[in-house]
Amino acid sequence: MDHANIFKQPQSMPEGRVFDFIDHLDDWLEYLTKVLELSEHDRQTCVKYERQIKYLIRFRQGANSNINHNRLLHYYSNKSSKDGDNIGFNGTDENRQRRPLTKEAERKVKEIIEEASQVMAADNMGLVINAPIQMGYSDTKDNAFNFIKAAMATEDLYFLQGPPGTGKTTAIVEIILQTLKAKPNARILVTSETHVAVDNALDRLCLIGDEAIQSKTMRYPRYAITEYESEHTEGTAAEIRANEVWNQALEFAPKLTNVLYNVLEQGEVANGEVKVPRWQFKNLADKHQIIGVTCNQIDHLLDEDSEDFDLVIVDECSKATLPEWIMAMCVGRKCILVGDHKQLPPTFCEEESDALNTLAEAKARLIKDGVIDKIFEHLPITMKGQLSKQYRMLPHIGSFISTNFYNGTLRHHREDTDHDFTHFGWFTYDSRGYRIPIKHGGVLENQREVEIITNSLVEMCSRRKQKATKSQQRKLSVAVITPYRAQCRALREAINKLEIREYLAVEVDTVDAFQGRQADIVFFSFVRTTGSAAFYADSRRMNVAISRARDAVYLIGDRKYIKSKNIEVLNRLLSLGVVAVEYVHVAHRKIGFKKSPCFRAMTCRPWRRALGKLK
Amino acid sequence: MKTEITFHWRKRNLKESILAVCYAVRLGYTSRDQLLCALPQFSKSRILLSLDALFSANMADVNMGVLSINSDMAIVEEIIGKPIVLPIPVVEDEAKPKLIRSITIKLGLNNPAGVETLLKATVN
Repeated sequence: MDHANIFKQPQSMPEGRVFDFIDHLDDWLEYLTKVLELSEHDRQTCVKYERQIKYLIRFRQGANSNINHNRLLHYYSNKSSKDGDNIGFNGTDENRQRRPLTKEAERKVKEIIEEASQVMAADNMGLVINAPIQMGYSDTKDNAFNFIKAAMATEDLYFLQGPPGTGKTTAIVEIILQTLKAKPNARILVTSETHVAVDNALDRLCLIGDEAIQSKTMRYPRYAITEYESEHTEGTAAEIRANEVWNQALEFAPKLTNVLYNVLEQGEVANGEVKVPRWQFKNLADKHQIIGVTCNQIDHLLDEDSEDFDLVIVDECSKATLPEWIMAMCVGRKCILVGDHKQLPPTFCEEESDALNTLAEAKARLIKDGVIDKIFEHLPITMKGQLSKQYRMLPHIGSFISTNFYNGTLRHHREDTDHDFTHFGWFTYDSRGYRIPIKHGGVLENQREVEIITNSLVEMCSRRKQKATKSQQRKLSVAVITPYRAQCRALREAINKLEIREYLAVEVDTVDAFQGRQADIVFFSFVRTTGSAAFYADSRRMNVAISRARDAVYLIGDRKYIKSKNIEVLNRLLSLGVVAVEYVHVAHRKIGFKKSPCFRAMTCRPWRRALGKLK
Repeated sequence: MKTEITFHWRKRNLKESILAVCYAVRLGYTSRDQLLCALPQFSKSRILLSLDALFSANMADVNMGVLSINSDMAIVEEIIGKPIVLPIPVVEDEAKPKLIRSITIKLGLNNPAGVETLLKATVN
């Protein structure tokens, strides 16, 4: 059988520069070994890297649950666009080019795959579904349900790209519900690089699902979130489940339970409480069908006596490193990767960056940037989909995001909001004589931008207060985002002193930390007025920063400095209007606004006019 | 010079469930349903794997639907993980299996081969 017969898409082997998935796995192993050396003083971190190495080797050797994953990833990583995507080693490292398979070897590989396929056919995870289970998919123009259908129909691997606010969590819940409907005994793993993403998915599942679904669900070890959509969510935490089974045992067999509690290994004692031992969690994982756990903790729940999962869903996969999503893929027959490679890639700590620096530049770059976007590009249309209706941003913000980061493919659900703050523009100032950082490598803290933001928040709060006297006003959520930790600290300190909590719920954090969250209003503080703007140059970072907003975005920075950098994504932002320009009385260091005070300007410039300008 | 012998579970993943099954059977939970009700802390599959290990080692038996556990298991529970110091010089690798077998017999175990199926001994 020829390759062309296996895959519906006409395909040819790559021309020019290629990225080989197996070589990339080897690069990761080389890098992780180096990080392990550098982190030897920190045992806990070492355990994490050792675990990643273990799973990578397992995958590299084909000892994972579904060998088709290896085959697909290798095949689709090996295809490159005609122009070349500058990710490979051809010309720089020729000895790494794999020898083509001989006819005989190719025939043997196909025979093995066919035999494996026959064995696995009995447990086919390619499911045909008809009607949606959740109400939200009733809109026939919305392609989301078609992608869910495609994800269900695929047997081994599917990539669902979900731009900001397009309902990734809802799609995950629909996939889980549909899978359970078609295969009531299916074991499903919901995983992500972050605890919050796992929590949100399971919380929504508990909200939509009935009691039967809730009783099958378990979150290891506990929820990180404190506010839940469903009142049943909290009870699905593994620690609570562990208590429940011991109480159940005590009721049926009190003497035996007391003996076992004393004889069997119990967990460590911390703060006067006995922790649940690992063996207990493994048993609980066996007993539940839907498990939520972060990628790095999967190994806590599984051993060679555990059953593999029928379906693994990796949320925020673009934010996970390759070993993290490979760990998840290793334990499941079918894998659905949900994420958005147009948002931020994984972050690397200092030791990890040091280890990266020891590798060849091309290898390090590939590790740092991730390969999900490259594989996504090459995957056939039956194995990938992009959600295209966004439910978060008002159209003027959504259009900017769509045009600049998603080739105009996004459609917008919301049309209006219930408050006055709907701007998308600049609070700018003249930074002549005001250098941030003061010297090269200095602290990235800009007090002028802090003052602009705090003044704006106070003004916003007073306007909400005025309105509240006339009618009931909900508390608006505000995200103050900045790329730098020092500025974060300064902003938190200044905002904590403000008396605005009654009307505004303000969160301050870095761009990277804000991924996956949203707020009614976003302030973005650029901080720098001099030096390199490389940090902003990553369009994925700006995409995340802006797309957190539901209704308004205020960009705070010196437009002249930003213009001088001539960076594409920043130039596009500069095309947005100015909400207010700050002037400074140098003698008194007093801040005011050259144009009319910002929020007076806002009310007479509704977002629709701004949207008109964008178009 | 002394020789130290320590017994460990071969199936470390199942050690808790094997012990739990043994205790449960001794306390009268001898049928399938009773075992499952008495041990909700354990998954059905691990209880099954534990029983499988015990049957394979000839440490469990079923008679007329009633499960029983070999009395050797009580000794196994006692010796597991506790080093036994012997007043003899260090033995060669080839002599170790013989030494292990003679120790298990002298400990009063009636089914030494079964014990060796369940446990792994390290001799230092």
